[in-house]
Amino acid sequence: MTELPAAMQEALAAKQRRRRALAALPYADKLRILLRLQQVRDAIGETRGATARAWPIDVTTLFPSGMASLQEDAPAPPPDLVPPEPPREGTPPTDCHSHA
Amino acid sequence: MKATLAVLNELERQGIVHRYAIGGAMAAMFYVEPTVTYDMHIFVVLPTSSGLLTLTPIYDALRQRGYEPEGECIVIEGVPVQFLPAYNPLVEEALEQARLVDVEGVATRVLPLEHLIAMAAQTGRLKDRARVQLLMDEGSVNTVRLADICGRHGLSVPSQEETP
Repeated sequence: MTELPAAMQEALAAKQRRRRALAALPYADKLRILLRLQQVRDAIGETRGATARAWPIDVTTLFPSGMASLQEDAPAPPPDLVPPEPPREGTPPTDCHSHA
Repeated sequence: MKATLAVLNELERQGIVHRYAIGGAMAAMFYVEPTVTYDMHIFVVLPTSSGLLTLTPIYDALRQRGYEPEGECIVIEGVPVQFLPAYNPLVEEALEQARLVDVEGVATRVLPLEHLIAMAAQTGRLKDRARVQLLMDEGSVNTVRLADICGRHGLSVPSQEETP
């Protein structure tokens, strides 16, 4: 395979770093991005007559607790609702009932 | 979203579903960058009495709460939700091992990363293959676990490639 020019390799590496940074965001922030992506795609679709499909909810509806993920002084969720560290191999799942 | 998950937890608490977990693109978003999607796939273990798997009790319960079907989904608090029964041993295992996560103070479950990859590989549509690649590239995959899952369910282990 032909080796890419250094500038192109750096551009692709930067793209990869950006993807990994996005992947590391909290889920709530990813949901905000998703809503925006839906709105952008709808705006494009509407130019050719497609029906809008974005969820009819906004950020304040998404985070009714006061946009906790965006506020440094937001209250932490109750301790019994905080999941353990992401389980890896062999970690048994915890039942949702006791936390819901 | 929070309200949607609360409704799903209520369905489980009432025994209308035995267990549920988020799958599809919304689950992938737990592990990788967000990608656009318009519905939430919810995999469920259903109570079985006659040996038949039917989503009717879920739809009936949700209609009673005022939520209406829209195509293959039912819209719960603004989010179109598609319920999918555990349709094979791989999905059953994924549901059994689903991770407990917290979304804005609401506890919910998401399918494990390695099971998401295996399920996408098994389904095999173009969009599923793209998801496999995305999850493999960005998702901090436990390759030993993935190989074990694929081996037990008769699947080839997806390879990891760099994507631009």
